[in-house]
Amino acid sequence: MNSHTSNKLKAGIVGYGYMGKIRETVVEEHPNLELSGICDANLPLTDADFGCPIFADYRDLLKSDVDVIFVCTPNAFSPEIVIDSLNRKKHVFCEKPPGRTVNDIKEIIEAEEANAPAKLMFGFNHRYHPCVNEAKVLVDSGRFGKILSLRGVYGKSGGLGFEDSWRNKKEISGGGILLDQGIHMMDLFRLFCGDFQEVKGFVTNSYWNIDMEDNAFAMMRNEQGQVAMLHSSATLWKHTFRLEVFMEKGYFVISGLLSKTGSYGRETLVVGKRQFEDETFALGNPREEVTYFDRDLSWITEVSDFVDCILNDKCVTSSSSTDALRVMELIDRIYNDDTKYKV
Amino acid sequence: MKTTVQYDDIREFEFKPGTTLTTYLQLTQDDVKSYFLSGLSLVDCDCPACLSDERSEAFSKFGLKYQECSNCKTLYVSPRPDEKAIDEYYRKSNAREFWNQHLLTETEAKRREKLFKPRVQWIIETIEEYFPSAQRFSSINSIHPPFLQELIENEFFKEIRIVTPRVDLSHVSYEKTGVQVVEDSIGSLSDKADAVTLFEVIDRLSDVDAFVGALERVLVTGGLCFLTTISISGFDLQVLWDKSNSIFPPDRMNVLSTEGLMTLFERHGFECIELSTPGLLDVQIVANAYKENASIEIPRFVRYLIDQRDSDTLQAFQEFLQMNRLSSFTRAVFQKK
Repeated sequence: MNSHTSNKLKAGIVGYGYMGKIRETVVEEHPNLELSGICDANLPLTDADFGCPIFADYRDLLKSDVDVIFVCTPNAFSPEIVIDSLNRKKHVFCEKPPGRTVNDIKEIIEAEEANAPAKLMFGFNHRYHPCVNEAKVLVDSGRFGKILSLRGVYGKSGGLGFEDSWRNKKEISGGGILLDQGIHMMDLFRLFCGDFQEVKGFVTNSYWNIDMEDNAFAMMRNEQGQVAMLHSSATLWKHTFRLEVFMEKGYFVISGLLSKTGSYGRETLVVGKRQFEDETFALGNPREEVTYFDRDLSWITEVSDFVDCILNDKCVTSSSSTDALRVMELIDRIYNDDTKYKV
Repeated sequence: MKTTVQYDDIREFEFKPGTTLTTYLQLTQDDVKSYFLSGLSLVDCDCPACLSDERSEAFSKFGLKYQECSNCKTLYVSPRPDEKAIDEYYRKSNAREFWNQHLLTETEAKRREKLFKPRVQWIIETIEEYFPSAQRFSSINSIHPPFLQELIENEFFKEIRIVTPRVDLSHVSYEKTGVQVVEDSIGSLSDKADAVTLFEVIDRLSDVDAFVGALERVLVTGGLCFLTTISISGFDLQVLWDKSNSIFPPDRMNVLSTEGLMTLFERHGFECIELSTPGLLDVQIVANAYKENASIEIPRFVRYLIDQRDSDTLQAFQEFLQMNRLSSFTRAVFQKK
């Protein structure tokens, strides 16, 4: 690990697919990061095309003087790359999920502990979306009382070629829609309510010809009695993101999500305040305030948090390896709770 | 950047009772004549928002000319009185005295409940999200006792200041509340602020650019500016134009477009956190103006909407205006970079 006297960290990216390209943009925009190498075995381009060295093998990138590695590879490859990077005393930012199994993240944590103070963070970027931030501020303010329950729907439209994606090959991804996308909603449930002790799940393969789930339904309850319901789906036929937070004195509805294509709809936070009325005349339609968000700063903000941890030697407390372990444990319990689930 | 849409039940007359407003407008017209049109030399100016000198004359109100900026569509008075003359007007004019004694007093309870309580919540929630360490607050160029009362009761800020050269504060005592009063312009301040409010302030400045420059110097990095104003991008102002009772000098000497407002603050190193037009009254204002005076020229579509469609449609239309930043009441939050 280099000493960071210049406040400029050299960053390398492993995996130059959809996420790798997003990370490249973030690195280029971030004042404390400098792109020092990209690794992708399938990259036909040269150093000159990128303005930085290109590697076919991530081990060669690790041998260079990079400080930070962004791991943007499919799930099957991420754990090994993360562990090797940590063992080389590199700081690591890894996309979710942190591998295919609970065991993967446990092994990663062992490497993290053995290589302190190297920092490790996972890409649970939904925590950093503006509507989630704003809802969290409102929850933490206490003005709406405590959370009673959560309900989350996160789904894809599917489409041509869906079955052929590496995300739907079990040997590479380790899980279906729940592990790929539902994991974000599970992470948000934990962000708002902490850990859940009771977990019930149904996991189905109802439409797509893949060897994993295309739908997962879960109900979870924690020691405070807060209940969270999840529907993670690849058969909604419309990109959908919706998280409802029901509180003692009102409710929040987060819907839509700022994304590259805008296909999840305008990112919106609805805040409703409870208005008890005479039941005879109740309209059940309280005053609401709706906020629309125009800019997705989640990618840059989460990386800024990570860089801050590195430069100021702070513990990673958001999207940490513990967060990753806990959410993987919950997902594992959902899979295992459905005894009828067979692919 | 974000925008907020609100649903509530407010009627125009709750904040601006008709007869009282008529008297206020008449007094303003008289005062404009005596303060600004009797021998005072007026100053020509460019667009206060984008600084463009390209413009076309829009109309005259109370003897002063409104110009429409060809670039950002801001509506502004030029030539206009200087800052000193306007300060004097707000300290001494009959119209202002009437505003404080009647309009504010008669609607104080409604304003506190429906305007200022939510406004304080808005400020607190925004600060908690974007600048949680903010402790020093200044209200610039405006005094709204119900607002300050709400703020004091919330005990959110350690330090609250009123900074204004425009209001005679001799009869107002904030000693017991701990509020510090500075009877001077923002440019005179040497202390920094973490958050400021500009409620209907931009509208009535002579030199907007210099003011926002001074504001930039007063705010700490990351500091927040909370602003309310009316925007010429708004539906009722665009439809009623010179017939709008909301456009008159000097209270509304600068009626910026949303684009102009963004340009102004970005030019001075601010980032827009929120720009919302959560107005509830645009459609109602146009409908009322049309009902009171059927000879007012309004577009056929708007006339049809008002004449033929029910209140649900009108409310949906108002919500559409809010969603697309097309209501005239504007609130914004700018953060110093």
